[in-house]
Amino acid sequence: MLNTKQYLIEFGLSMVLYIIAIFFSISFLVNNPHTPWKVWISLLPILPAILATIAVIRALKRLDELQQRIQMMSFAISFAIVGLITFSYGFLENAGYPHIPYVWIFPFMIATWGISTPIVASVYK
Amino acid sequence: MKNKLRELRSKSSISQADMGKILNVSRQTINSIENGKYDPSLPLAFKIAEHFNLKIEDIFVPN
Repeated sequence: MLNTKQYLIEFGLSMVLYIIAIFFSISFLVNNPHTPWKVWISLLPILPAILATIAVIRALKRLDELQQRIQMMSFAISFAIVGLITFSYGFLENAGYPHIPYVWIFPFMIATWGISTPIVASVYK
Repeated sequence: MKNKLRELRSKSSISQADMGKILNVSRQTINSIENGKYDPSLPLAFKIAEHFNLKIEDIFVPN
C-alpha cells in the first residue's frame, strides 16, 4: 500500500521539515510576539504539510486499481466521519459546548483515514 | 464474477507475486481477484487474458 521506499523517504523528509518548522515557528513567536512576520511565521509548518500531501498524492498515483479503490473508500469514510462529527459539534458549540481549535480537524481526518484503510482492505481479502 | 485465474496461474507455476509483477499490480490484488472479492477493470482483464492467450470470457464467468 502506501509503504513503498520512495513514499517513506518523501513523507519522512516532509515530517522532519514539519517538526523543524513547528519548533522554529512556536519558539520564534514566543520570543518575538510583536514581529510583523507573525502571520507568515505561524503558517510556516503548512509548507512541509503541503510537501507531505504531495508525497501522499504521488504515492496514490503509483497504486494499482484495487489499492486505489481501497484508498478512495477509506477517504470517503474519513470524509463522512470527520465531516459529520465536526458539523454536529459546530451545532453543539451553539448549545454552549467548548470551542475546539480547527487545527485538530486535519489530524482527525488522517487518523480516521488510517483506521478505515485496513478495515476496507479486509473486505477484499 | 467467478474466474479461473488461480487455476490458470497454478498450471503455469507462477506465484501470485510474480503474476502481480507480470500484470503490474500487487500480490494482494491477484489474491483478491482469485478469491472473487474483486472484479478487475476491463484493461486488467484483457491483460490477464492476453497473458494466458485466452479470451476474457474463457477466464471470467458471470455468477
